[in-house]
Amino acid sequence: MRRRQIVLVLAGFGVLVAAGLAALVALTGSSDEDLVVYTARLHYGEEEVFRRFADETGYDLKLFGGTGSALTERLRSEGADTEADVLVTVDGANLQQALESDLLQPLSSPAVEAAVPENLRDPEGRWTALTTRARTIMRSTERVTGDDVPRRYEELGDPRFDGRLCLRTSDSVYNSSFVADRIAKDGTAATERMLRSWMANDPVILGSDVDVLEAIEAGSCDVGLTNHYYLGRILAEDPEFPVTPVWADQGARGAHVNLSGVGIVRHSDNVPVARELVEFLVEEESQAEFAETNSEFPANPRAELPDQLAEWRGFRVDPIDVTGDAGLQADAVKLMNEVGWR
Amino acid sequence: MAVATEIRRPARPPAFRFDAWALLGLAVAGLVVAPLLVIPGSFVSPRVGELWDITSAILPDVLADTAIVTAGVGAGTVLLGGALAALVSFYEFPGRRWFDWALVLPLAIPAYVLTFVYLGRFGTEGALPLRSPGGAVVILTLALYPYVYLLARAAFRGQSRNLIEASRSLGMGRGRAIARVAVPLARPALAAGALLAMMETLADFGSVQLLGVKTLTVSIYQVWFGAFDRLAASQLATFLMGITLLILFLERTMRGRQRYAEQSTGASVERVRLRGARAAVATLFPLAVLIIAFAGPVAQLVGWAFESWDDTLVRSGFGTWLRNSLMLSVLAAVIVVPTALLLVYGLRVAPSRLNRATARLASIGYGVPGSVVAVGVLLSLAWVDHRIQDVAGWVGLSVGLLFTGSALGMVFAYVVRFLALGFQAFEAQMTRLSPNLDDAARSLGADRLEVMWRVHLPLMRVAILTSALLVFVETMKELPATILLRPLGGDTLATAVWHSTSESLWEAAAPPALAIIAVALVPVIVLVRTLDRSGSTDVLPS
Repeated sequence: MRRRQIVLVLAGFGVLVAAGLAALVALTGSSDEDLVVYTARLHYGEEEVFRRFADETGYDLKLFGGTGSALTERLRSEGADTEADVLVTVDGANLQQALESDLLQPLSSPAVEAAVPENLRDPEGRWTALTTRARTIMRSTERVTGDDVPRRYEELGDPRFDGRLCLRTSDSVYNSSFVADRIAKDGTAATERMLRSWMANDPVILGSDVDVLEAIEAGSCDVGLTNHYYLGRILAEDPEFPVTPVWADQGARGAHVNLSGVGIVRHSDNVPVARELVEFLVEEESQAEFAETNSEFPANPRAELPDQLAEWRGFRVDPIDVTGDAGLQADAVKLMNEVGWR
Repeated sequence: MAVATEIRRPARPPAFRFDAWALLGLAVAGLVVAPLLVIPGSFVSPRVGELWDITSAILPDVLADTAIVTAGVGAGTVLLGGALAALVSFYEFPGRRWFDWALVLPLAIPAYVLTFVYLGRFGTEGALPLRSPGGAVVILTLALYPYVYLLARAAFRGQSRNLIEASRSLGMGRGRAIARVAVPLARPALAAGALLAMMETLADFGSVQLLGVKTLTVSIYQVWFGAFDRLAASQLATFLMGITLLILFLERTMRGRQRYAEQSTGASVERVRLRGARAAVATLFPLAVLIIAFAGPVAQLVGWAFESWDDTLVRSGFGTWLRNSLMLSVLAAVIVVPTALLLVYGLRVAPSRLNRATARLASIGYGVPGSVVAVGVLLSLAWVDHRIQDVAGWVGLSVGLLFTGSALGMVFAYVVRFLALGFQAFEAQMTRLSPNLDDAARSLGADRLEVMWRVHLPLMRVAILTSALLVFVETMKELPATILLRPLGGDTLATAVWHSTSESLWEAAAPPALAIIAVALVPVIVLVRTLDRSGSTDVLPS
């Protein structure tokens, strides 16, 4: 084989690679969808609600899943060229990030204003909550009863729970949002005192909220801190599951409540349809679906609740302060690391 | 006759020679390093003091855990992979021929899949001991030992029988001959394998995150996405890059001034037949490894897949995930292999210090966690995209986001990440090819291109196949960069697994996980068969 032939073979190879890349680009990327939704809710697959919207309206809807922070980061880098029209997050911190980077546009919608109470919406209309989720104390119904039941978050640090506490790893955004909200409302010193007392109880650190609940069931700990709907999901399958929530701080601010929210992307090229989707999502029927399928509390108070949620509802809530917590996430992560929360 | 000669190092290479090789090296290194420069750039931020406050609070514990896990996996893979390779190379026992190739199979299982299978299988309670640095070492060693096994096995196979015979004739026992002659000769291969395993460990995210072990990658993620502080995360990532560079440097030093140019013309080592209890142990040991690292997890996944296959969400997405995974993996391999070959070849024919430096730089991406590579790539390509838009705007065109809006960004990230895989394999192989070969071919009138095409490439068939396979499988398994960079409609099998495991939906994660394993198995098996057919003749044609 002479030099020229070798060069030809190499060139052919280069053409093949280029063709492969072109095919790949053609198959992915740029889309003709009517509406593109970046959603951090249920990364896996599509939520029924979204599919129903597509079916009922006939719009071509494309869901793109990921963690809220990754989606926010993505929106930021895509800037004006983004394909996204709607952002759905599962955490107030992510909404706050989106606001800070000016990724969302104001929506003035009487339908949304009628459906969602004022404290669950952005005053400027850039986001509205879809659901709320309480991060509260979970206890074993068998081993934690009567006076033993902790009533306040601080009590998880009481010496009587030495070796009986389970927590999720500190890298969960639910934990850092919880801590950031405490810092915003109680100050760093008080929050640090509480976290240090928790750590003094030598908590078992687990990978997910479900793990924490299962650990309480199995007996490796007696109390924990999780989002309420994880328990809701388990109870829907197994009503005898021996764990029950304690709505914390009822004598004070109330139980910490985070929110899953939605906003229209600033650079959306299809605002009317995006608006339709947002209004659809806060309708009673859609809201009831969130409650039914995932045990979250609907933002729309008129939505019908499944029995379990109807029974739980009515405790005093302390909603996360989306704008007030700005910048405190970093302090929260730092503090959790300092006190040794893995 | 096989001779292990210590070739005296040639005179110190020139610092710099401006030719096509130098240009190529600079171009590749530039492309790889440019997106990574965003990361240490965090130290020149005006907020550096405030950032350091966060970083320094986290660093000591994180570094300790990272060191334990990485060192543990390095030692574990050398012990397990090296022992298994020596066992099948130098001894004969029931099932040996079968184990010989079967022991490579765990290469097809991503560490995060192995992790979620054991977490789901043992449940919250049973898996508690795994949720520790020690547990991470065990799981990652099981997932990563094939790197050492593959390379050590190829090295042992390339060794001539005469070497072992000679040492035995000098009165050494079989075991000692292996330990004193075969293993030291295989040292570059063992080191290269362990290095790969350790870099994989440093970059692993899915597995340690599921296990709740706070290594550098996990805390980078936490600082970034928990504290929303890209710069502080970048500072942590800078440490990770530093550690990778340190490992690369150590490997260099370890190999030191010795270069073994082995010319093996004899038959390969004759295996000693084991009998009785020793044969039983020799059979049971690899069998146990295979069951724990491969057969057991696969059986569990099959069980789960049967439960979840009826799930319409799994079924409707499956075809797209599979197609995307295959296309991306093939493209990554097809781009990485020739690029790495050219880099290594440039080092051989134009060994200037500049070329050495650029080749080193071009392979640092492997030690940077996928998510960090992805963000470096994302930020730099986004910048390029917006500039392209600006230009297109002047002439009234709309091209959209050319790189970040399509799969091109992913392919670029894979190349940045996995160039080292090709580079390591080729370099290990190149150093085994005697420079006399080049001289002989050149004296017969071949030019450099022809020497490469007609002499080196045929001799490096196995290395090429090995690295193409490694890149293909790694891309198929790659998670963090894929998650961040996938375009709309760009979900892959790996991201489908991740979507499900992040919701603790083990059953739904099983079908795509099995598909990754099944697809990755094909090249694994092809590789083993090719290795077997070519035997030790990959070093010199007879």
